Amino acid sequence: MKANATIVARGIAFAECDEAVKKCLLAMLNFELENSNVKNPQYKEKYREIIDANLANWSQKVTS
Amino acid sequence: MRIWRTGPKRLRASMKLTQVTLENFRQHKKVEIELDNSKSSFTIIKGRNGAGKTNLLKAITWALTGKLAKDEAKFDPISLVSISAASLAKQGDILEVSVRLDLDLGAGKLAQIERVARFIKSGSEASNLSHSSTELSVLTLEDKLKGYQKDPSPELWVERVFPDRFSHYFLFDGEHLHRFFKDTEAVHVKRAVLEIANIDQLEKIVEHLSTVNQNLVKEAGSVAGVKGEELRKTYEYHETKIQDLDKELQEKFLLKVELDEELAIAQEKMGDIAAIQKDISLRNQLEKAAQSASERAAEAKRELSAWAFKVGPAIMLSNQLQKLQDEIDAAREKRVLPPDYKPEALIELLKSGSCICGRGLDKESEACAHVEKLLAEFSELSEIGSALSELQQPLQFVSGQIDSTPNTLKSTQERIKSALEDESEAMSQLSVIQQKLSSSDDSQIAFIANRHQDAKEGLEKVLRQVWNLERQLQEQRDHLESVRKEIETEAATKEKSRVALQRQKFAESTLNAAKKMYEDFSNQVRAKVAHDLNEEFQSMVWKKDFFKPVEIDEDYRVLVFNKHGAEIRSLLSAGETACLAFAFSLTLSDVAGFNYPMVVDSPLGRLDKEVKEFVSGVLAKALQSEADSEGKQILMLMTDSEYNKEVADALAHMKPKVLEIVFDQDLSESKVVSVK
Repeated sequence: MKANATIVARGIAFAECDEAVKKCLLAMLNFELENSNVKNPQYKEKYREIIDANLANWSQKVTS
Repeated sequence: MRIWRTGPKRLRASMKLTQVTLENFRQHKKVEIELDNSKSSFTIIKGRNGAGKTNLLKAITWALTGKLAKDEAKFDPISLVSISAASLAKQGDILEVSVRLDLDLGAGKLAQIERVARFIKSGSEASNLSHSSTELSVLTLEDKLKGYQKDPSPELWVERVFPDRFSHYFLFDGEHLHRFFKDTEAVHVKRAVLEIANIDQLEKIVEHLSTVNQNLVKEAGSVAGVKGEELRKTYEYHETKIQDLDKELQEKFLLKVELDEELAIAQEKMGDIAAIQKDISLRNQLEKAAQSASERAAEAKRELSAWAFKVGPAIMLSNQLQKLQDEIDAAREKRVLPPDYKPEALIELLKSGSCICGRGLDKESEACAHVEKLLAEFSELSEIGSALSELQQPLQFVSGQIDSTPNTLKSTQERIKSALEDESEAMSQLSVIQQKLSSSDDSQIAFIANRHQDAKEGLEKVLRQVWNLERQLQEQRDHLESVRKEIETEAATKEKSRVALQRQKFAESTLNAAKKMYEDFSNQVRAKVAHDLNEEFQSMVWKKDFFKPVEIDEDYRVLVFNKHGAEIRSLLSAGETACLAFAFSLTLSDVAGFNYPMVVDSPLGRLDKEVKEFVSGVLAKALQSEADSEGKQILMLMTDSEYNKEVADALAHMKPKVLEIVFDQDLSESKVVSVK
């Protein structure tokens, strides 16, 4: 994580919300920071990947 | 969740620029500048206009960002090359332009950033250069035993330490500081604040996650059977409508920004019109005053002429009479005329027959004949005397007339002189006003007024369109949400689409959390920036207790209120604006959470001579405080007139290292020398 990203990263890390959501957002932040100079980052695939990686730990489940 | 730590400002790792080395960069053929990296870390480089100060700022900016300035992303690399170096190079030579920055990263760590542009000289002329390549390299030293190591990803290294998008808040031209606070710049200030605190990354997450979430909604729909597929199509329809409306709305927003700017310019021009109209009114008054003075002078001249016509003959007659009297007096003196006599006495003598001398005056005597002759002559002269006596009356009248002449003449002449002076003064002022008005005619005023009206009407029209589009957009979003709910219901009923729905619900939950954080963090950052900006500004301004706390409104306009509650940012003096701008930059530096050296060209450039000393004093105090608490490094590039004796005295307590850039005309290159 970049030094100057600590403000938002800290904000996300200490936010009162689901841990899986937090991890998901931190991973997305990391992706955005690493690609901040990329004009059209391939975010769709990466976001899907991050969502799938954290989905299992999400406390809420969809039921029929 | 508060994202800001409370308490005193945190001490950061001290990072210092220790040396700047330029080679063949514009007029800097070979320049090494050792900067002050002591605790105060304050260096001043002074020099005349054209000596190379601004190019030094551009060189540092180029080394860090590959650009010469924020607005100069595109430039011809040839423009970097020193003309004298290009002239000296031979055909086939490879010429290198380089800027190297030596850094002390603290804790014994050092680094060197070097950007080199290479050119090939293909002919004998200095202009026969072609750009070959530009390369960035970073050497880092973490362990003295190992020496400098080449970083494999120099661009990433520099981006991590000196993020490009923040550079223009720390490497800037003081002449442009005031632009931070133009209303039309508020949107840029917002971006700056959000960018600098990395909130913009959260904004990107919201934007990207929103798109991904919509895709997941569609996916859930497409696997939820026929009805789900139909719903997906409807969802897609509304999505496309929203995209179109959104695009149109963005165009309208851009148009609105343009019209805002246009209206601001037109309003400024309308202010000029008010000044022109005032000048026109003054011109009319002066024309009337000149006309009136001219008429008074003409009237006085007429009076003088009439008076001269009236008294002129009298003056001429008087002169002639005086001449006659003078001639008589002269004749008497020469005894051409006899002295005054009394004929009665002669008649008495003849009657008595004896002269007063005792001689007899017998008839036929010689003596009697003599007296009779005298009597005859005297009688003749008596007629002349009578004539003269008769002339005494007109002579006295004429004298009376002439006696009043000097006063009448003087007062009339004074009236003429005064009237002519008034006319001349009015004409002189009129000339100045007419010169001012010569560049603006009625058609121009009408044009500006029309432009103002057009911009105003255009803006109103766009605002109506924006309102209409926003309403349509909201309708479509409501439809989309409604269809999403239907897809959700449909997908939840089927086992195979439940996994897709689960994924979408998680994405949606993450999206909502990101939106909430974005809003929360934005407000916190805004409040934090406003708070810090206020503290910095209040510590700088000299009118204590005059200003209420500085605010940043939701549109990110910086608002400054006086103690009576009136918003006066646009009314701040150049000195106060400079203080506010520096306060803003220092605040951003703090919010950014890293230590970027500040390099400022012409920090006092826009200030009046009288204010320079004062502002430099308060800036020095504020910067000293920053330097003490943050270890902030500051490099100021100043002209001789900026860094005058008073400013030098005001900055002296910061113990700056003072250098001077001197341009050698003969060699067409600059050198940097120490100033004691």
